[in-house]
Amino acid sequence: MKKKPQGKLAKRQSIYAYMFILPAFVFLFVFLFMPMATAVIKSFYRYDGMKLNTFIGLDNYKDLFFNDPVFWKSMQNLLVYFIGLFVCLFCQIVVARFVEGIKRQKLQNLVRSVFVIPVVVPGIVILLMWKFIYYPEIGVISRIVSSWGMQSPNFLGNPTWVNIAIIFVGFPWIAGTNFLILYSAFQGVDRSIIESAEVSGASAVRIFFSIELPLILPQIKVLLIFGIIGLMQQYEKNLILTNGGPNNASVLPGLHMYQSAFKASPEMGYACAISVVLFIITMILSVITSKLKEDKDA
Amino acid sequence: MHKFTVSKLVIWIILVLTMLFTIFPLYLMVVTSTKDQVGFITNFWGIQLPVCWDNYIQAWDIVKVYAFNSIKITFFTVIGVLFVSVFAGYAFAKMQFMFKEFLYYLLLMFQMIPVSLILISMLINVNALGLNDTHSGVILPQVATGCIMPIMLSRSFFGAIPDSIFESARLDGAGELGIIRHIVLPISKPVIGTICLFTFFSSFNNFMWPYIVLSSDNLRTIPVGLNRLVGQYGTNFGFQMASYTIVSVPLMILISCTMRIYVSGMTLGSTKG
Repeated sequence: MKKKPQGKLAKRQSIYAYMFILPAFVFLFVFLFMPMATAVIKSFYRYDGMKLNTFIGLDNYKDLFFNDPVFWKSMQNLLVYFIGLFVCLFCQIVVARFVEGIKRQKLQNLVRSVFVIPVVVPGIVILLMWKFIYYPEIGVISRIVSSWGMQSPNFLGNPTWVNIAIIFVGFPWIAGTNFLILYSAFQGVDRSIIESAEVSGASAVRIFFSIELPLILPQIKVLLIFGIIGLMQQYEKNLILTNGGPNNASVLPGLHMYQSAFKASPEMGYACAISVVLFIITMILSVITSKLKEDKDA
Repeated sequence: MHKFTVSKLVIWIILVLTMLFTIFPLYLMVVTSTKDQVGFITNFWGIQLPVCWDNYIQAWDIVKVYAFNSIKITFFTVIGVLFVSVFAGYAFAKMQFMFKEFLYYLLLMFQMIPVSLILISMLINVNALGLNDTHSGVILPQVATGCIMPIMLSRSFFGAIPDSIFESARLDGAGELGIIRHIVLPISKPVIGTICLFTFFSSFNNFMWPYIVLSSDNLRTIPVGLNRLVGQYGTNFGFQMASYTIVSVPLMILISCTMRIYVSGMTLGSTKG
């Protein structure tokens, strides 16, 4: 297939080629690889970002696993968010199917746009809007509930509600990417299979569950694992909405890492140890993802 | 056909409800931004006429510094990502050199690094380089974390172009830089557009990294600045929402105009493999 250039031409070409890829690798080395190495190294130190910098071996990891209730609480919360992920994904699948099923093309594009446009509104604006919606007394939900003569809970200040409230912020918004991927997955489903099922009298619901869902299962799998990887890294939302409160009820592993590094007496080394543990879990999940992707291509 | 109307009705009810949920916070944002403190209490759901432009004047006064910073940071991030990814993507697609496969796999490995988990050690490194609290400290790491997908995108774009064009140019004695300038750049407008768009949105909306790096108020970007307003202006919601609107509306107009590029780019990696 490919001709191998020979002699002087080839030599000149490879010098240029290295020049062309050099900037990319310099950037990646300095700002991605070095930080990763730093994280691993500093996880063996007691380090506060300034003067204190002592080697303590595995103490950070021992503390993390055996001596840190907040870390275990955050892992427990991760499970709650994991269940939330399933619920959100199910809703996205249903909505994507409905949008794809709209017969008039122009209308379909319009509806699709409605679901996609909010994706570009800065995430922070969306989070602050939802903070306003959940605001006690003067917030939106509070107003609606009290107009029915009831008292609404303080969603972000109540340990039972706080995680549900935060999960709901992600629905059906920020997941506009998920929506698009599912939408195009449904578009890719072979029409003739569905038509022949319709002819033999299968109901729409039956077709959805026993033909369409299995056909888009690869995309669902990938989205699910991306979602889990995303959860491992999620803390921006919780940082802005509750900062892990009340009383660590909504803390997540990433947020715990952030808080360890930026509290009054910073424990940067400890934060690095948390990030290494999360990093390893995420790596394992990523490997599984790439395996699944290979299955899909085959 | 009558059998289908009931289920169609149910589908449309669900669709309309979810659309309302999606749009509602944006509606609330725009509507609240038109109100002064009194209007906020007396007329919560509707728009206030005449619009309280004071909110916007006051908001713009504060947001303009952040907007300038955001535009500057985003501009240089986009330029940086383009520079890095077009050259590297072209080299990986159309040039022969030793360790090509190995280096490309290395690149794919880098892509698996979860950026938000190494933020703390990124900060330690940026501090060590003396870049903390500077715009370079935001831009350079953003280029690093944001250039991998664009490299893969431009590689697959150039990969689809027949080799013969480049080969014959080389045989005619064109240098590699000449090929880049006269052949690669003119034909790569679509991929450059996609890369620009994605880098623009992700850099402009990035919150965590500038939040950690920038400590001086006059250097802050829009997302970081907006978050700070909440703490400072407490319950003056009209003013806060006006600043959100100023920031969001241009982005929404931009996405409406470029929807096709955005949608095709976003689903590129996941469906076509």
